[in-house]
Amino acid sequence: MIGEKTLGDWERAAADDRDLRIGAGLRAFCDEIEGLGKQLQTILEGSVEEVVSESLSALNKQQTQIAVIGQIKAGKSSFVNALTQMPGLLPTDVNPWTAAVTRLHFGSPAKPQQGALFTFFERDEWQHLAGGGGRFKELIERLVPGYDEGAVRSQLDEMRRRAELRLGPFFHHLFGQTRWYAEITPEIIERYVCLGLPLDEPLLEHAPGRFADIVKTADLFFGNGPFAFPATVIDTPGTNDPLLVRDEVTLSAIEDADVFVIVLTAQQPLTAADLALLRILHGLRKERVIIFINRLDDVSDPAFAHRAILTGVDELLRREFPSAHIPIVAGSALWANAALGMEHAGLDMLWCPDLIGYARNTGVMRPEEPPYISGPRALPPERVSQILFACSGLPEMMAQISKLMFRGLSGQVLGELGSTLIAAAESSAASARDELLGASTLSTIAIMDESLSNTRLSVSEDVERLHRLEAEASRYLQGMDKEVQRQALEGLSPLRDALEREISTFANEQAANLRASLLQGQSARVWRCDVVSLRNRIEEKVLQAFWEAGRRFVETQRQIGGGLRHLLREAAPDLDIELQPASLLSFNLTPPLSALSRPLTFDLEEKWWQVWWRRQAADEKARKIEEMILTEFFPVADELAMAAQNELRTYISSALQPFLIRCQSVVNVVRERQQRLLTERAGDSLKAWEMEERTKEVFARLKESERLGLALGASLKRHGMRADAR
Amino acid sequence: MPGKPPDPAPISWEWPQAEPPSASGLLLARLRSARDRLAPASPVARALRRIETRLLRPPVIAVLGESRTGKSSLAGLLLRNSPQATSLNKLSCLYLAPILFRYGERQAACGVGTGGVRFALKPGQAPAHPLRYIEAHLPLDCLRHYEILDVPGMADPARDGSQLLSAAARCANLAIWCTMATQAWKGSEQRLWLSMPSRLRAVSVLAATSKDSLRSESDEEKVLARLRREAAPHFGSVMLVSSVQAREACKTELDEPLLEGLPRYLFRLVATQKDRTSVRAGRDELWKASGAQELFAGLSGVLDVVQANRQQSAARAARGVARLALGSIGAGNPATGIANAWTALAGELTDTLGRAAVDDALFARFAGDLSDFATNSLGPALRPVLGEQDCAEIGDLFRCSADDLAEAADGPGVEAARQQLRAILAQLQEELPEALGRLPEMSGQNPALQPLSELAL
Ligand SMILES: Nc1nc2c(ncn2[C@@H]2O[C@H](COP(=O)(O)OP(=O)(O)OP(=O)(O)O)[C@@H](O)[C@H]2O)c(=O)[nH]1
Ligand SMILES: Nc1nc2c(ncn2[C@@H]2O[C@H](COP(=O)(O)OP(=O)(O)OP(=O)(O)O)[C@@H](O)[C@H]2O)c(=O)[nH]1
Ligand SMILES: [Mg+2]
Ligand SMILES: [Mg+2]
Repeated sequence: MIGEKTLGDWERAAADDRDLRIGAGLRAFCDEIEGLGKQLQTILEGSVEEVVSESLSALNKQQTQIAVIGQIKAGKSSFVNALTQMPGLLPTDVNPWTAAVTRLHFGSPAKPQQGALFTFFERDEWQHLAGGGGRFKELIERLVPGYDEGAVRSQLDEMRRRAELRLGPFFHHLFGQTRWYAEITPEIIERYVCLGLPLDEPLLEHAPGRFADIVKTADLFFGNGPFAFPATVIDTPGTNDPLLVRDEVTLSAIEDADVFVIVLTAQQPLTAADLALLRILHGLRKERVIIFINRLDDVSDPAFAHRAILTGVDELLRREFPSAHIPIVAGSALWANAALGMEHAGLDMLWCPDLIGYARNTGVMRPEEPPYISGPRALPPERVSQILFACSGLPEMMAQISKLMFRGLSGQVLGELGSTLIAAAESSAASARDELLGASTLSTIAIMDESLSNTRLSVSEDVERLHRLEAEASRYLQGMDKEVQRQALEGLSPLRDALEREISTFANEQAANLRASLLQGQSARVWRCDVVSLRNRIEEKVLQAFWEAGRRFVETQRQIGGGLRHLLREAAPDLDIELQPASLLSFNLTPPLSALSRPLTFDLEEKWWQVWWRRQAADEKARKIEEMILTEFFPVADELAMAAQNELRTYISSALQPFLIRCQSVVNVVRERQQRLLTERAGDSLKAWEMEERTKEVFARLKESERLGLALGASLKRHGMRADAR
Repeated sequence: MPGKPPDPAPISWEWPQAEPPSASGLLLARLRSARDRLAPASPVARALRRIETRLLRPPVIAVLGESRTGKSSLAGLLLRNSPQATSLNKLSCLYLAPILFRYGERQAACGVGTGGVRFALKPGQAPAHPLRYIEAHLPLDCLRHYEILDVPGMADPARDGSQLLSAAARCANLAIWCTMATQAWKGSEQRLWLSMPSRLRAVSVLAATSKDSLRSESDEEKVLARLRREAAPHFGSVMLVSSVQAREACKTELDEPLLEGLPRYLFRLVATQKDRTSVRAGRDELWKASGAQELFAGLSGVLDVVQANRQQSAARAARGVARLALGSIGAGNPATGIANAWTALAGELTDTLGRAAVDDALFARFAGDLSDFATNSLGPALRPVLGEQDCAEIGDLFRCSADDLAEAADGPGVEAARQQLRAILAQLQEELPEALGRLPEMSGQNPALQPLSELAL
């Protein structure tokens, strides 16, 4: 997806006095919700107040994880430096350099606001890695046809040997340890996360890469930096390194990030390796990917070339992922870092006709501006920085990331918390309304509010009945969350069997096809297993089952709501609160499909297959293929079914809350009504003036609750969240 | 007045009654039977002819690499920046087929399909046959020393370009693998490269292109050091080049000495000089900086090595053909037809070789005939003795690896090859009767067939 705005537009937006920090929109939303929530808190009491204060504290625990991934030397670390506006912080190099996952935490709640923490592998974790076991081995065997496994093992042995050499006698003491630094410097980072020089000797105390082989994670802590909302930026080792360990490290790090920046290069935009990465992501979180085409400074005539590059990538993406609208931004981390000040020394090398042409063509530089950085007509240095930064694509990237943060996990959670607050406001309004109606102060109210006077008061129950009702309703709601979970998940339990059936049928068909074509005298070598169609069928099945479970979830809530309403109608026909169910649809929830994108034998290149076919006896081929499909795809089915269940469970446990609050609030109303009757019966009814005071107070509470509910709803709506409120 | 001439006597279209066999009739019959015996014998000879023609051709340098790694630019440099080559290269992108540049007096291009069929390429129309590659002829001197094969990039990453690469690698004597200096030697490149034939890998060159994109000499050093460490074991040599700088340096006319219009790769270099207006001085610098000089020097060394290798493998192939013919015949049923055909063919070949003014084309035709012989005549005869699989393999070997054989067939020069063939023939003449005599007690494990596997490289 290519933006409509020109770079000039972005630049002018920057000149406006808007909050340009990353995640400013999400911050504004969060602040609004928080402000309204706090107001709400002051008028609430009891269990609903607890829920609200819980929600408020949850608001401040949210943060977004932004993973920056891409092939080796795409410029990921340079991009992170530009994005976080700390040029020169992460070390960069012309050779593969980042060796460990580096997390940069900005304004993270409950974390330090300055310092660096490096965690080393546990001994057995490391040995597991070095032993080439588990998933790593699987990856290599599947990804690298005909590749000598011994060679991979020796890569790892080499790594271990080098680590021992570099660290000398310390080596064995470091496992499982952490190192803390209060001050962060590029040198320290380089020592821990960079590959270092390929020296085979004990390294000096401060040599780059000294600890790189044994660092599991690096956490760098900062204040807010350029972020308006807490964020963690994750720099990863490049993929497609001949050293296969890097891919593994990167893949394991990105699983829980929720916004992805894929860094490509303008010279080779979107290669097969990038596409493979995108496919894996497509399975994980397809919605939240941004593509940054780096090194625009490195193509000749970018003014002319950049459009072609952008549209080329866009067309490919549309074809490969028709439903995902992936924003694509072209730019240059080099220009951005230069603009941010570090590389000003080389400015006269950067300030070339190509750049000037690009700046003019994209509307960043006005035609009347002179293209000089020295001499009498030189542009002022701030203007040069401005131009460079605008051309670098970073302003657009920041805006796109902000947008995606909304759609990311924290945005969703904020939306859900907003819904919870709305429910609390509604609940408060409901009980206030009830009290007003139930009180024998109808006349007073009538004076205060015309609308309430035409409702007839019909509270004739005795305390017993209310008591019974309340108990019944409470019992009804008790454990309901577990029950809803159970019912929804039950819908997913046949999924695995269904998938396995699908796979078996497919395997059967394929074997039959193969047999038929062998009978016709065709060589097995030309036959290819069409696993794409199987993947599609599986994906469809999973999605179907997931939506079906989601539908059931809504249905169950409706039933609960209905049941409760039924109970109530008997006791208090006036209390007709509609209980809107929470729905999956509101958050575009999709089941995780990453297992589907795992490379299988069937994705291997022609060569591998030729060897395989040759090894099989002629009459065994069809059977072997069938067997292979089953053994390869059954674990996938298993994983998919599990992942779908987990996703649904997590979602339900947070989405059910607003609904249950609403249910509970109805019960609360009943309880309060019962309380009032009790008081009245005890004879110590309020004196007239007290009554009047109380009524005024309750009325104010009603109005305030209504106002806050509406304001929250409006806020959600304004920020593109679906409010579950009426 | 002169009258109409009288009608001529009606012509009789009847042929006179067939007469009893005359002298010419007998001759015809003998010729026909001779032809019958000769016809199947031709394929092996044809194979030998191909060996011969290949031998006369300069080695093929394939410029390989992943998409957009500067292959065509480097190929352009090797073609001395000929503008014709650049425009012909567009055909390759258009048809998504490799393009082979060869020497030719006149500039021309045609499509080559399976089985070597050649046809004109009409712009805007689909090729008349399945297109294997495009052959372009250019009157460039450098093409007398090497031929250049450029492979088009797969603009579409979803399509697998490895097929194209390995096909190109099969007909190359030497490869230059292009990788971007700024993102050099990725895992996928390593995998692709390691799937290429090892005989090719050992002599080939790793060229890290876009040298100009590295921004300092120390960066260049670092990249080279890594490539030497990680990639050099799979190559003959490793170097850094910038095709655009080299091209610029070769331009004869001087551009406006203005910084304004300079492309980035020139700008950077000139910008670092004190006297920024001296573009000419910049040019010399450029040629040095581009790495082209080193590339050409390196290539000429490698080409020598390649030439020596070709000679060796030609000798091997010729021996192989001889053994193949022998072994195949021996393994067949005692089909006298084969023996006769062979006798005839051998006689013919000896004759041809014996003639003083031997014509290369004639010689080559026989080489091809020999290969057909093996396919059509030996194949069916071998089948009952050897079993389906081995026969198919031999057949495959002859059919599919005709090119491979030809490619392996360089040799010690035309005259020496002739000598070699004479020796083959003599050996065949001597051993054939013996082989045929042994035939009845032969099983599928004919020791004479063992060298087949050797040939299958
Ligand atoms: N010309 C140019 N060079 C760039 C740009 N961005 C980064 N570079 C250079 O490219 C090289 C690689 O940059 P890095 O940021 O280390 O790349 P990376 O993707 O983090 O690399 P690994 O972590 O090793 O995979 C460095 O020499 C950078 O100076 C850019 O926009 N233009
Ligand atoms: N700066 C610079 N750019 C280069 C160099 N070599 C090639 N390029 C640029 O890189 C791009 C791709 O070059 P090509 O030579 O077409 O690469 P290719 O490998 O033939 O591309 P495909 O055939 O599409 O795979 C072009 O825009 C070239 O101008 C070089 O040495 N330096
Ligand atoms: Mg990095
Ligand atoms: Mg090309």
